[in-house]
Amino acid sequence: MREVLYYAPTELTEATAILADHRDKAAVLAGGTDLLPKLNYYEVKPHALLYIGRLGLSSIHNGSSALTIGATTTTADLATHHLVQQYAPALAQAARLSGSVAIQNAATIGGNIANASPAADLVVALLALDASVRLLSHSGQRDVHLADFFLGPHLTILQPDELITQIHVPLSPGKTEFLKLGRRKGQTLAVVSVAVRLQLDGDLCHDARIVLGSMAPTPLRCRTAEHLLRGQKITTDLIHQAATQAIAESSPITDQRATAWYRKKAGEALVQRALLQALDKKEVRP
Amino acid sequence: MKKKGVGMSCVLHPTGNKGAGDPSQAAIQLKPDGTFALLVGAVDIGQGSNTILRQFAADALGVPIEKILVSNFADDFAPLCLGSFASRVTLIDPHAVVNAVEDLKRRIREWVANEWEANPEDIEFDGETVYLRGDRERRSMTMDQIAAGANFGGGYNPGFLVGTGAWQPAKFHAHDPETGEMPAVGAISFGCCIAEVEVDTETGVVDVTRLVQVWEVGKAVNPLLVRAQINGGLHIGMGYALTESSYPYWPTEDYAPEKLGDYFMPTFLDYPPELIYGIEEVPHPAGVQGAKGFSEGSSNGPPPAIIAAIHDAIGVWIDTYPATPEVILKALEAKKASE
Repeated sequence: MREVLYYAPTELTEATAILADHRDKAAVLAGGTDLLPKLNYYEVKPHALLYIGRLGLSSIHNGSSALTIGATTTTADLATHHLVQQYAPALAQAARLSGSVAIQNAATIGGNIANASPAADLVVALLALDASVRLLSHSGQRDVHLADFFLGPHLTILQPDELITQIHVPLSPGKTEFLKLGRRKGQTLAVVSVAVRLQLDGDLCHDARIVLGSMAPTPLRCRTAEHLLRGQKITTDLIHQAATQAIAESSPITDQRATAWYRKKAGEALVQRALLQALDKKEVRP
Repeated sequence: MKKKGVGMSCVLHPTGNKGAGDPSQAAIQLKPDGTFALLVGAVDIGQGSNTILRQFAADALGVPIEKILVSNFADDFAPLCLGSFASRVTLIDPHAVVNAVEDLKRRIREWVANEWEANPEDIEFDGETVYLRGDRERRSMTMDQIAAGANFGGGYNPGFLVGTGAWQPAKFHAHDPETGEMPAVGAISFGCCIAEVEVDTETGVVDVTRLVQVWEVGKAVNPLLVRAQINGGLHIGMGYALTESSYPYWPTEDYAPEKLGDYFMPTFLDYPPELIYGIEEVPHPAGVQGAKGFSEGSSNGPPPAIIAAIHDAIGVWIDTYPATPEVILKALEAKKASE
């Protein structure tokens, strides 16, 4: 491997200036769990590495309307932090089921988003929670809904000079669940994962989110299935219909983890289960 | 829906070869500080052969195990051993070790008898003390004293006290022309495995909820290691039964695993919450103190037991390994279609 410039700035302005200088020749390094294997196999050949672990972006704060999570907050912190457990239990669950302990200690929420894997555990939960990301560049910042962030496998709207600095998770009421099916129980990538959120108004479903992982080129919000539930009384029949509809919206592929056929079969069962289990969960109240 | 089932398997595992010739050698040296350096060829790949061979040497010498240092540091310098395979080391190498110890004792007898101008046959061992029969009060030396004397002199004759030993199972003899009988292996170990599973009929996921494995090992030289071997076998067996696959079992050749990370072994989370093991001991005439190997056999028990348990749970015989969730779901669909 040829020599690579290594930057580890402590100021955000410094970091964005470095990105502006190197543009797409720079690779952003946080936990490194996705980047380093790519470097080792020469799948990416950056001229510069920008380490963002010294920018003070590892924190979880409770604002009046949202949780603010710093981009370099680790998966382990998400799994164990009391604010995440209280206000975003589905995110804590996704973090707990992600990778190994070693991976959880290194991998960051910003990295999970930026890597844009269709199987990203945290992203599936974050989409069900209506999260948005803050993107910073030398020329300014913008907030983008996570649902608008992904373009395809490992493709996002993130510009070469932009850095993910924060993730905002709105404090909204609802019952949530995250389920993941892998090829084994631990240290496994999702064959199919699902996150749901049900906002109930007595017997009626006021609003719903159904998100699938590993079932499309990007983590997928199943909007038609969500619409089926909205304003309706939740019954087992309706849940089955919604699950069938959610799978109809998906477009999984066959890969080394499973066939598309299996993903659809098991995915439907998983959506049903997530909706039913969410109903039994304690309601999150901001 | 989750369906429970129970399945059982019985395993017969050959340990040590016969016809091919299956020798091992060992050497043991009395070191200047009174400890013993045991050289073996058997490779300890984590199975614990170094530990049990120390046990055998300590036992044969009548000294604490701490006095035995063992090394198999390099094939170029180690005594010959055919290898750590065929569950052969526990059956064969202890013979070589015990023979080497007897040889060392003979050398020590000769050296001590020479010092005392006595007959080597009158020299007795009592743990770390060596004495002249009938005159223990006046004619007695500890191993430390012998070691210092032989290695450093100081009034004693110099000596290099090393014993060597070798062993292999009885010679191969041609098959019996009348019966066709042919002794192909050194010994056989027997195992039994019972698995309880829960099959999720909607996702095809199989959870092994309880597993019992019992092995007849001749003599459990080190029960902790025997238990670890049984549980280690479960790891390999569960992977074989449920997750590990390579071409042609992947969806297509393009997805064949390229590196170890792609090769799916179970994790601790996949282990049965309830894991029971048992050890039976029927001393085998071919082994030192009745010991024989068994360890590879313990990976053979779980796959058929798990497959039988799946059959008990859902009424389908899975005839391909691994029984992945996809294989299970397809089998359930085929069953439904045929009904």
